[in-house]
Amino acid sequence: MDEWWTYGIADLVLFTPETYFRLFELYHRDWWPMQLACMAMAMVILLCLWLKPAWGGRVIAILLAGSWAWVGWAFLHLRFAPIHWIADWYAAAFFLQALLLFVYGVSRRRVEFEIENPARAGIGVFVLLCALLIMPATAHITGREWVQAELFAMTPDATALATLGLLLLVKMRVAVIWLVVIPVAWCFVTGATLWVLGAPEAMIPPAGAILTIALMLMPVRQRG
Amino acid sequence: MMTFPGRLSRRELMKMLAALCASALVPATKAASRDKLISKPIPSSGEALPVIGLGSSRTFNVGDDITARNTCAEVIRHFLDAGGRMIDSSPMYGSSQPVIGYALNKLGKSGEVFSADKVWTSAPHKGRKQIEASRRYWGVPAFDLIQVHNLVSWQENLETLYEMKEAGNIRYVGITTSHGRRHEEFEKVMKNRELDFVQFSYNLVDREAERRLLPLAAERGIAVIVNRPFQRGDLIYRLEEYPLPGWAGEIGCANWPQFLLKFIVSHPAVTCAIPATSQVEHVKENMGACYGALPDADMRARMIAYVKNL
Repeated sequence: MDEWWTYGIADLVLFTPETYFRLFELYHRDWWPMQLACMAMAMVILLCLWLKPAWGGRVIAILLAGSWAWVGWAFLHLRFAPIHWIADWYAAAFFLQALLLFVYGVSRRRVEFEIENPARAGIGVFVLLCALLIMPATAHITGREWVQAELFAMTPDATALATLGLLLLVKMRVAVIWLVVIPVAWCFVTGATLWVLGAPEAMIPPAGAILTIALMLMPVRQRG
Repeated sequence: MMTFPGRLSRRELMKMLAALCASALVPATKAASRDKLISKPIPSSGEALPVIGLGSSRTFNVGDDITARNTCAEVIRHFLDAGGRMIDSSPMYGSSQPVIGYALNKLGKSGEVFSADKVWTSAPHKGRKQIEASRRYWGVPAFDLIQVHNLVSWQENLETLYEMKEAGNIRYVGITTSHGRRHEEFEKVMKNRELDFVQFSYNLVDREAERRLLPLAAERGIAVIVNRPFQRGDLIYRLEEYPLPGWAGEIGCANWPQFLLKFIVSHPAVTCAIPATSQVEHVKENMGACYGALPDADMRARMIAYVKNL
């Protein structure tokens, strides 16, 4: 697109809030009962964090990679792209994130869950629980239907936020920084989109992203 | 002369008949002006266009949601029934083109619209292909008007449009911008190229176009389509807090949308405004601005002053 810098964010969001949230509704209805499988995946992730099996990091990485690929294809490409010309680029970014999670988390085993900094880990758990529990409730809280809910592994915002929460719980490495880039970028993109649409929950994803960046800049290990 | 209760004298009877005739005549005069659709000529051809068209940015971009598509079809049905003709879209507007095509096909009214679309590509060799894809979405035999969207690769895209016009594939050529973007370059194109239409933003609180673009369009004989007449609804949202002035009735305005639209289309250089909506009630309100009196220069000044003082 020529002269793209002359466009404001509002010029690029060419759909109404009604259409955007109805998208979630139609998507959830189309894929029911896939949502139950996604909830089961969230439970597996929480169990891995709780029980800390040796293979936990790889399982979580596989589940996250699958979630990003699924959301990229089923939500962004199939559902969002018909009303938003840039959504296929978003989908490509989600596929790239899936690939990165697979390469670093599964092939190279760089995603190891270890509490290096209690404050960071605590907030990581908080961000994760926000993604799994609060994000799905925002639709209802803000007066929309439950069926328009954000859901981990089904829709992008909850998936990105859950990923950031989990990455705050892993041993800090260069690989982890690469894994944070796309979820952080998405949180700002979706925050701007929701802001243009006048959605009250617009600040949640960017707040999660800012928190993640700030916590990643903290010292690796606090020694007593 | 003695009169009896319940009985009329000849004089009284004549007075009543005269009053009856007068009262019958006054509404008839009003009804006649009310029923006459206001249209303006396209300067390059003289073809008349109703002063209110229908935009499709955001509002018709509803994807494959069948419920929403049917609502859009109802909006188009009411628009056409009220005498509307121009529907404007762009490849940039997501699913708006297929939704318009769905509605026109459902209503069987593909032949009744003045189809205005855009070419929006920075790869000009793909321009014809994009226009053909748009035409198929709409389901019309040919577009009436194609405009270069937001001046994207305008030199090359305009050449394509001139060739298409020459070949009889389209009837009119134009360029667009919105929200005050690239006005200087826009003005240069208006001065130096043969255009049938230009499209830009203009409304009661954003009157920048009055300085140069509107006078230039009048001077060059270019039809003007005004987009974002309500600043995407924000303007109505702001104004609805305040009462419509009592004198709005003098120019046939019953609500703020009509007030805002009549201000725009009463500018001598403006051909039509294209408010977008996905609600039947709103399209009915908007089309009301196509009827009744248009404000003259004094009334326009009064409208500006009233809104400025709110």
